[in-house]
Amino acid sequence: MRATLGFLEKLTLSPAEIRPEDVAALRSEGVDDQSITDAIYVCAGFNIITRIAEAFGFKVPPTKVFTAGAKFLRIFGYQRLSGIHLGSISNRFPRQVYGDQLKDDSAPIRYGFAADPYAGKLERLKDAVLYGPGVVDPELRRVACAAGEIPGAMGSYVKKVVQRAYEVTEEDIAGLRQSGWSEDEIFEITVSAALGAGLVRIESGLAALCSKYSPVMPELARV
Amino acid sequence: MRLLKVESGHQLEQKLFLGLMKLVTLSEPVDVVKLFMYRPEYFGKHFCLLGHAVLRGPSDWTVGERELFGAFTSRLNRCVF
Repeated sequence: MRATLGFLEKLTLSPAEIRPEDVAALRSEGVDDQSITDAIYVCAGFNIITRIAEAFGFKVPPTKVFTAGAKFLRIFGYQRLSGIHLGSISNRFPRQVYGDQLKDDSAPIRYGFAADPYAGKLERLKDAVLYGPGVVDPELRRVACAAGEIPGAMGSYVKKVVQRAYEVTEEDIAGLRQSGWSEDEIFEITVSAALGAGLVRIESGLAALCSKYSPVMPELARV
Repeated sequence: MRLLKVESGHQLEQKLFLGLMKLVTLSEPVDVVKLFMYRPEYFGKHFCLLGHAVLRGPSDWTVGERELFGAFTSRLNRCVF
């Protein structure tokens, strides 16, 4: 447990420095590859959601409300709800500019390895955010995801979200609005940048775990 | 919440869901739920499905251990969630 926390600390703070030796150290503590994979995904997921929460300035909920909310979502959550209106939402999204670049659901998973049971779900998340229907040019979403160069206020905002999202302020968002970015554009680019921060950690972690691992997005910047 | 659309710009189904949630829990849905409910086909649905598998799916880690990994990661990112 302690060794795993140390590994996750390095994965969160300096993902580019994760090496096969870090994984070897975990294995020698008796943590198997499946458990290491599970921990990497938890870490990556929270690296994504904390960036969005900080960038959008989420209010901190009282614990009780949070627990009740989580329970409700678990019972009436997405599996059930998504069944009702599957496919209808994207068609009715009013100001959609860019169409669906998604391949069909039955397309084979393009990456992954044996101990990674989450590859398919990650692939669908990545496809929706970076290639699915939206208002931002998918090319720009992928640049944000890879923490690449974007000119102007949006560029410095994306860097902030990736590197220190806790410093994003009300003024940053106001600045983006003044530069002409719409809320849906800010939404998509923020999610894309946060997703990139998660993907980087999954890729560094799994590459150290398995030499045969093929990356989700080879062009991702190693932040 | 800094984006008005994510706060209250949901589509009908999501509005109904959030309303029902408010009734059952007797409180305003938390921001993270509003985020997941905003254009769920873009992010929320897929993130929740992945998150559910990661946090609640079969694993040698208990749910509590995985939640701890998450809380630990949040803290490293200086996030209070």
